[in-house]
Amino acid sequence: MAELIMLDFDANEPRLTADARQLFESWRSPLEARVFALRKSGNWVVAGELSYRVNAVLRMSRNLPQPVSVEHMQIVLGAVSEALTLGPLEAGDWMNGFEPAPSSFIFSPQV
Amino acid sequence: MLDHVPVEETQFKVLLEHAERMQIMFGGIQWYGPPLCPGMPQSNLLHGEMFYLAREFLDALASMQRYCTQHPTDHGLDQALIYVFDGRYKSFKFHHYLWTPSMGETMQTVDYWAAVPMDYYARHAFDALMAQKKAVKVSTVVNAAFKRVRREMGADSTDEHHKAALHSAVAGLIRTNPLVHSRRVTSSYSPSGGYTMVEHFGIYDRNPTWLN
Repeated sequence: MAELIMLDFDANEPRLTADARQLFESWRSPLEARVFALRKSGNWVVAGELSYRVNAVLRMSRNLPQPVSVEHMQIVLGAVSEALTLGPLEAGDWMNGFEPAPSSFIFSPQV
Repeated sequence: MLDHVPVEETQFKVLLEHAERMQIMFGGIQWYGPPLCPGMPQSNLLHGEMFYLAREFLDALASMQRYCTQHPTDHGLDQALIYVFDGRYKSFKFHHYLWTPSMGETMQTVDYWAAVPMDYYARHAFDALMAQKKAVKVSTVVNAAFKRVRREMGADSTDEHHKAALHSAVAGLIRTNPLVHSRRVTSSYSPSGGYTMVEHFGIYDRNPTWLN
């Protein structure tokens, strides 16, 4: 008999402060639109890679003091944004992967 | 599109042995689109990804579920098959689950007991193999299957024929079923120099203990 297994997605999410949550959501929504566009065009492999890199925010947030503050979230988003330049991958050009990643204006860490 | 497909049925044995030897847990999710031809739900493989932690698995599934709820009519996903190979404990475990966008925060175990072969002898050999709790000799499986056949057919003079047919059925399962694990054991007591131990991975623990 097939059994149903309950999954608790909420318990798995890192805890964020309200501001950090809002910052994260506003950062994620254009990326999710990009994932949708990629999947719509049949490019599920690149879309899967992109959403895995977006999920790096969750993986990093779990190692930070909980709930994650806005300042920490800005640093995390700045670091993850640099890894999201899939230009060469999306173009299918694997050899030309050496261009420097343009860092995001808003989310780069203010040191 | 067979790039980026981490878990193929033909590699189950190798993956399980790897998990056992390295004492790690890992798994794969395979995302399937709507079937290309009716009645073949696994004909449209879109993408596959690996995970090495239960958290990564939950992240991947949660983001896919978000995606499917945001685009309820055109997400383009039909189902996902999830495989887990867990070699962290003394007895290694294999898990297999099904997830569809309508399931939300649940998933369903895939039951290997339902995959019964059509052939009469193969069916009984399969039942006997599934009833084994640990690796046993091929002859033990054949004898257990033979008891079932005897019970059904009654005793007559064709015992040898039944045994031979069951033996070849078990041999066929070892060759064709990727979840039958066979190991050659050398023994000086055996006239042929050794014997083969078989077991079925599908019997292992159906509780999702790896999730915690």
